[in-house]
Amino acid sequence: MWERTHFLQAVFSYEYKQNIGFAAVYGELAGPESVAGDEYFRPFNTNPVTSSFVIPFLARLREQGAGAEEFERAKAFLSTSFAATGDRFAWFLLRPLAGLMGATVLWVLPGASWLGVLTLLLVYNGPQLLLRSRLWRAGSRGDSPAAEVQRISRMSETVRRAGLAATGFAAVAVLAREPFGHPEAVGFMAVAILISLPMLKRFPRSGTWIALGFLGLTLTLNHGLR
Amino acid sequence: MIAIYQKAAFFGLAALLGADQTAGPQVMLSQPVVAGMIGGLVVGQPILGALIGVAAQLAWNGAAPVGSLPNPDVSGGVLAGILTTGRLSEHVGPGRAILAGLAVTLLAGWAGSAIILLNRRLNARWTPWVLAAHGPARHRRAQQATGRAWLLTGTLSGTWVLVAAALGSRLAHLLLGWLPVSTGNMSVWYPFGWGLGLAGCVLAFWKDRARDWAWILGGALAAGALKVAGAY
Repeated sequence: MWERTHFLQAVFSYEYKQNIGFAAVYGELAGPESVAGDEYFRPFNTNPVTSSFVIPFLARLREQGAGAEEFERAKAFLSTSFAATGDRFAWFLLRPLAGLMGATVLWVLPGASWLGVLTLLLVYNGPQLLLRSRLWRAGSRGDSPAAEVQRISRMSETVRRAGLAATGFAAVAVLAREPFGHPEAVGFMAVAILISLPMLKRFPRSGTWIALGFLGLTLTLNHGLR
Repeated sequence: MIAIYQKAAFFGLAALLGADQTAGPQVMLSQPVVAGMIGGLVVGQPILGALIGVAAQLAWNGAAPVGSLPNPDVSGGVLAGILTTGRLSEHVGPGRAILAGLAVTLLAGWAGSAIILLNRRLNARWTPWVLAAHGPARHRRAQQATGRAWLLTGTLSGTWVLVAAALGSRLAHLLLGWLPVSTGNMSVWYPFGWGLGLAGCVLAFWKDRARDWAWILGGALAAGALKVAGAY
């Protein structure tokens, strides 16, 4: 049943967030008649990975006879706290780690490019699928939400450290494997880091424009170097 | 030249990856490295696909598909860029084709965020439709809405990739006519791209602790040791 949470965001809208995704999974779990009321279609927003805890936990709460007010309060509290923890784990740490490792493997082992793709998919999906199934079981049992949030935070810390190690690995491996065919490459990479760090810190979504800027610089340098 | 069956395959692929990106199952098939490899295979140029994929991954590795935040259409951008590269490579050579393809990738990915925004605005119409039913029928409608919204997301993504590639390759062809042949050397861009990608990773993982240096150094030493051992 937990795999249904993969489509929680299919009907995402700015007005109602994931309300229909929530009702679809919750109704599947607690029965179609359980989502007959309007209150089940109020805005709902959490991280799709950690919704695997929130939905079965709420179904269990209702089954144990929780009133409408208690249910709404628990829904709001759990969706918010698991959104913050889940977003940090899945979107802001695990996904960049998987992307970096996939790109590094593809670049360092160009003869086996598919390994890069497999690495990316395994590094992201291995932990997130295990976590989803674990959280679903914990939510169904009614385990402590605070304990689960703490567990995810510890996992995030592990992923963060792995990300730092992968960053160090990539910096050396990319230059050692492929010096890009010209000696200036190390200097170009250092300049790019020095330009990108403050730009990305100030404007986190400026990656597209920085990359385009580097493309313009490439055209200029290519022309000038000849 | 891109055959009609390749365009059809691209539409299907873009639909699947676009839906994976924002609607589900969100298993990261939409990430540039994956989209690049698959797209490259469809046009019969896996190496070009991989090069575009890696470049886009470095540019967008920090862009998270978090629900309410505007994020670039990463899979759409990559697939549009690969179609452009595939169309141009016969005429202008692989170096200049990748250069044009990367520009189209980045611009199509950026513009594609408007398609994601439009899709989310359209999704708001499903709630009144579901609420118009009564009793248990609401659950059935919620499930139907999920399936239909997923298909709508895929259709919008597939259409956008074909439109962006058509516009992109025309524009690129015009621009390449102005640029000297000497500009078609991407080996200068990739050190910049890796610098950008690594900077994004440092910002994502760094917590301003002295111990963080040890993890970075440990990774760097491991890469050095593997190089000395001849692992790559």
